[in-house]
Parts: sequence; structure tokens; C-alpha cells
Amino acid sequence: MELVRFCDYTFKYPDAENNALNNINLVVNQGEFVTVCGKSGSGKSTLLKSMKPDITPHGEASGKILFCGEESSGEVNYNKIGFVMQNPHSQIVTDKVWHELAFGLENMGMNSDEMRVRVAEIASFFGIESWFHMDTGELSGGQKQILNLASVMVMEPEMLVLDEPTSQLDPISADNFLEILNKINKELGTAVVISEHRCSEVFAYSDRIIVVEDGEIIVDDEQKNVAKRLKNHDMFEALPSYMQIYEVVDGGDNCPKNIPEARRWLEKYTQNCDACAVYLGREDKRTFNETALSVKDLRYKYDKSSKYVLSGLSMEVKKGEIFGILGGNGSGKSTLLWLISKGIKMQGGKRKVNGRVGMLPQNPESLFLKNTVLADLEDLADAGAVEEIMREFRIEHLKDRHPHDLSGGEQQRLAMCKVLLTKPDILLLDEPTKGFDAHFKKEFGNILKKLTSNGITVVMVSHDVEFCGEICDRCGLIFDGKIVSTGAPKEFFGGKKFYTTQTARIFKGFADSIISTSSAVQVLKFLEGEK
Amino acid sequence: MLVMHPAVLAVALFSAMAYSVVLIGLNRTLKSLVAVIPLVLITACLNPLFNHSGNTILTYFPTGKPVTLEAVVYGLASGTMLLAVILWFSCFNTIFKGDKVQYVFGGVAPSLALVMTMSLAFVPKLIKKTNEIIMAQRTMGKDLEKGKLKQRVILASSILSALVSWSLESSVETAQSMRARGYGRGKRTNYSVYSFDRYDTAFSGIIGAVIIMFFLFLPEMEFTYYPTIEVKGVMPGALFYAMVCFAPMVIDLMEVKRWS
Repeated sequence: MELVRFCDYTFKYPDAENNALNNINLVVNQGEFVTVCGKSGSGKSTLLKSMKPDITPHGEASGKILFCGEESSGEVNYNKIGFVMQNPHSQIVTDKVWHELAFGLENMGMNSDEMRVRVAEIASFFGIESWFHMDTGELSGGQKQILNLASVMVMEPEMLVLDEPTSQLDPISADNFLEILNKINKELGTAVVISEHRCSEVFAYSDRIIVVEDGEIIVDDEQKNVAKRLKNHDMFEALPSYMQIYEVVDGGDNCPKNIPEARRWLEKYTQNCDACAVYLGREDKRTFNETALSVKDLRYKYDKSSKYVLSGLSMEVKKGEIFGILGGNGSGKSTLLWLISKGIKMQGGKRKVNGRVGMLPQNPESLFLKNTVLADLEDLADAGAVEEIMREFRIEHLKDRHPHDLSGGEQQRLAMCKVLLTKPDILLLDEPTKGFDAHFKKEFGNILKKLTSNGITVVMVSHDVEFCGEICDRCGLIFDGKIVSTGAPKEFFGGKKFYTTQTARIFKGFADSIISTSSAVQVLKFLEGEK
Repeated sequence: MLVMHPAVLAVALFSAMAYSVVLIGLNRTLKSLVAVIPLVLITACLNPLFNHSGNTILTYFPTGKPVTLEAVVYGLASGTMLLAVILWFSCFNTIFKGDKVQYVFGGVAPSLALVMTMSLAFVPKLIKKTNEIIMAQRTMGKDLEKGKLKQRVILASSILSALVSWSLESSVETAQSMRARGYGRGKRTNYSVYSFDRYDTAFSGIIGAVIIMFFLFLPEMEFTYYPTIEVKGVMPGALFYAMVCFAPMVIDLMEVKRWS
């Protein structure tokens, strides 16, 4: 049975130049798991919001959208479609978990007894009974997003639409969320339409993949055919690494769907993998001499009664390096950056910094003070410098917009511009690639490399293991209040089993020094050529 | 409370203090009193300034008007009443939090209950956001604690404006989240976490009876402050009053005793 059908649907926002959606023809059937990919600004969000009548954006629309065969102006039971948004914090309405779960049911005018049953059922299914009387403010981002999902599921929808639900979450919470989503789809039969930048985990659960570009659907197919269709396209880089590697090296019809399948495919190449990797990877490692920043024995705790977040942390970063700091949630990564940038006061230990420090916080909107992008930037530098940096970060078309109107990725770019305009010598970045699509991530990596070639040092806190693997000179792992392991990416990721890149997981045991997609492709092609 | 009978006041004050100690501990009770006691003393001293009736004269003001013992005692009594009321409200505040208020008001004014829960959720978010913005601006060199007053005021107003922008944006998303879950489509009901069971009924009955007894014996409790201080008919009215006032504390302590 069809849940949603788009018939030649075209949509334009008011006062916009171009159509947001162009001639969309799309069907979502009962029980399907559909993943929607596309670059930032491609129209994914608009497409997803159009599937939920209550929050469909206003504008000029032509064509039809049918819900269970009927148009939305008819008697459609809107509760059949649930929607989960990107920001876990702003979706929460009430102050207690029990109230949040019951909220949707209260809106439906249900009586107390029936509500009690449904809430109990949902809390048990999700395993969140222990949260029932907690304040919603006490939950972490990942927990909040699960609560949001539960408070939508309690209304028993037939289809769930999710707009980048994991982009604000750390990898562990994100995986957890997606697993629960998969469970809902496979056990309850609820259809799922989800848009994601991080395709790797969610592809494995999907029945179909849809790729959107410039408001049009360019791919609508099963997972194994997608890599071939996207071969010469920008979006190719957004695909999971094993799909990319397979397509470039083999190009056959048996594209692996997950890591175990990829490892099986890899077996025929494995003899000389490692030696090749070392040979080919013997690039000139950049050397660094001066120290840009060093901290010794840092201690910090948030209040008198809590335990120390940082206890005796020492770290040294050389000038011109890109240093990546990885670690779990709550390990103190952000706190470390706030201490170095003097956002918070030191409590113990030494800090030595050569030059000016600039910081990009995890919530980039904290940096915005004015009403337009242009005003916020001109606050810091003259018109010429502002224009140049807007061009470099591709935000000139946004110059008259209000900073809070920008999408997550666009806000990140604006915040980078602001920080760079203060001409820092040391740049601290807290989760800079949150919400970036694969394409811009690559550009961003190049921007960082260019900055360091001009003598700027970059210290980056990130959950994005793949990104760190590609561009960092050195990485450090923060655990139990200290930095426990440092090294160049090959040594850092190559030696680890769990905290490592997807490519490294594929090549584990075959060639431990291959950690990035590009070097994997290089090595395998070389081996093919040798045969 | 509106009864100025010395016994009533004494019971009210003593039970309030005892209950406060049970709820939040001696230290915090004393700390909260530190702010309040000056107010009480001022109230106590104001009365003799204006009221000069009473038979027992202690001394004379420079103006020639007398300071009487009765006026002083009456002032102290007013101060005591004030202190007792404040302490009781502080106890009330400790127990009667968020969702309990909603349970009580939910049936009567559901939209008010919803507004309350949304505000309670919003305030911590707002505080956290303010700190984030202040910290972030500090890394850009804009510190609220340094520089000339004019700069700091301008920075503070920029931060406030940014905070308002953020809250408006955030509330748009919250509104979408509410609409996506059907808010506004029909009549709302209220989910209640609490229920009124037979123990509650029994207790309400008993306390109701005791209160009625107190009011029956109230006319017997005569007292005057002017022209002389006379107190008659303390019992059994004061006893009933004490039963009501000490009931919450006794219930709490019984619970503690059960688990020790």
C-alpha cells in the first residue's frame, strides 16, 4: 500500500529565485526504509517536510501529494505520519520526560487511562522506564533525540520522517539511535524516510536509496546499484568507503553492502597489501619545529562536588600542525579547548601559548551578535577582507540573511569566517564538520591545509574519525582526564580496533596501515596493475 | 495565620522552622533566615514608633511620645507572623514543584499548566545558552568583566539581543515540533502522573475535622495586647492548631523512620 505519492510536485519558496523541488515523482510504500541523500541545500529538507502536512512549508506549489491515496486537503489522519527534526534540544516542549511522552496523546484528546497504557508500552519498548520522572534538561543530546523519537512513536504512526536526526549527535549516540530506528522498522513495520549525511550506517538498513540534487531526484534505487549510478558525481564521495573502493577498483555488480561483505571481497587482493601500503604511503611527512602551544598538568572541574573532568592533562602542539583530539562524550574535549582559549578560567596546571588564539565553539550561533551576516562580519574587519573570506567559504549569497536563518552547515561556515577575521595564530575548532556534506568537508579540509601552510596551527576536537584520518598531522585520544595516545594518523588509527576509520576496519588484518579511502584505492589499483 | 494569638503564632513559627529543618537541613534553613531576620526586626521596631498605646511604659522618644511594652510586644508578634509565613512558603516551595503544580491546575486550567511546563523547561535552556554566548564572546576578546563601562553595556545588550534571536528561532522549531504532534487540532486533555487514593481521602478527612475543631474553639481563645497583655483560653484550640501545623513534619519523619 502506498503511504505517500508525489505526482510531478514542484515547489518554490516565496521570494525565491529557483524552485526548491522540481517535478518530484516519488512513492513510499508501507514498511519501507528509505534513505535520502544529497548535498546541503539540495532540497532534502523541503522534500521531507512536504511529507508531513502540518509543517509543510508555505510557498508556490504545483502537482499533487497523495497520502494513502487521498490529497492532503481531504480527511487524512495526520497522526499517521511522525516527524523528527535535527536539533534534539529545541524539539522538547515540556520539562519532564513523562509529560513529553504524553504530549502527543494529550493533543489527540485521549483520556488518562488510555494514555497511561500507551506511555507505559512505549517507555518499555524503548527501554527508557528509568527516565520517566527525570527533567528533560538533564538528558544528553542522544537521549533527547531518543525521547523525541519515542514521543512521536507513542502516537503509533505508520510512517516516520526524519530530517538529519543524528547530525548533532556523537557517533555512539547516532549508532544507537539508528539501531532503534531500524528495530522500529523491522519489528513494527513502520515505514521510515530518513535523510542523512553520514550514509554508512543507515545504508545497511535501507531498502532504497534516494539521491536529491538541485531539487530533483537523480537516483532512486537499491543500495548495490547506487555506487555505479553516482560514479562521476560529486555525491560519490558521500557514499560509504567500501562502496567507493569497490566501484573504483572492481566496478562489478556485487557491490558490498556492509563491512563483512567488503572484507570478503577484499580477500583476493590481500597478499601484498601491506608492503604496498607502506611503499605508496611513504609521502613526505611534514616536519614541525616550533611549539605553538603547550599545556601541562591541567586540572578542571565544574563545581566543588563533581569529580575532575581534566586531571593532569599535558599536550604539546607544534606550529603549523593540524592536531586532532578524539574521545568519547563527556571526556573533556570541549573543556580543554575552552581552557586554552581562555573562555573559562584555569584551575590548575600551566598553559603556554605563542600568539593569538581563536575558537570555533560547538554551537556556532553563540558567536553571532548582529542581524545580518554582513554586519556580523564587518564588525570585525574592513569590507575588502570580509568580501574575500565570504567568497572563500561560499557564503556571499547569504550576506543579507539573518545568521539564525542559516542552515547548520552554513552557520558553521559563517562562524569560521568570524573567527578567521580575528587573525588568530592558533585556531581551535570544536566539532567543525557537524552537519557538513561530504563535498564541503573535502573543501573544508583543503581550507585548513591552506591555513596551516600560512603558519596557522589548528587544534581540532572531532568525533569525525574519517575526517581526522584524512587531514590531521597528529591525533590524540583523551580519556579519563588525560591524553593517553598520540601519533600520526597511520599509527594512531592503524593500531586501533574500535576507534578507527571505516576503511581501517575493512583492512584490519590485511594491511594495518591503510586508513583512508584514497590510500586504499591507490594500493588496490597498484596491485591490480601489477598482475 | 491571621490570628494574632500568641500561642498560635508561637506554634506556627516553631512548626515552620522545624519542618524547614527536616526538609532542607539546619544549615540551609539558617542561611535563608539570615536574609529574612533583618526584615522581621524592622517590622518589630516599626510598631512602637507609631503606636503609643499600652499601659507599661518603658522609655520615652525624643519627641516625648512613650515607648510601651505592649507596642513592642505587638511589633514582635507581627514580626513573628511574618517570619512564620515566609518560612511556610519556603517549605511549600521545596515540596510543591513543577509537575505537582500541573496536577493541581491541570484539570482546572490546562493551558496554564502547559505554559508552566514549557517555561520550566525553557529557563534552564536560557541560562545555559547565556553562559555559552558569554564564553564564546570571551574567546573573541569581548569580555563582560573588562574594559570601559560603555563597552561592557554595549556588549551586554548585544548578548541580550543575540539571546532573544536565539530564543525566537528555537521556539519556532519547538512550535513545529508541537504542530507535528497534533497540537492545536482539537481539545487537549491532561495526563496526570499523580492520583488521589484512599489514603489521601482519609487524611484529608481527618485534617478537615481537626481544622473545624480549631475554628470551633477559636472564640474561646481570647487575647489582647492593648492596654495590657492578657492571654486566656489557650487550650484546646492551640492543640488542634498544633496538630495541623506539625502534621506534614510528622508524616515526613514517619517515612524516614520506616527506612532506618
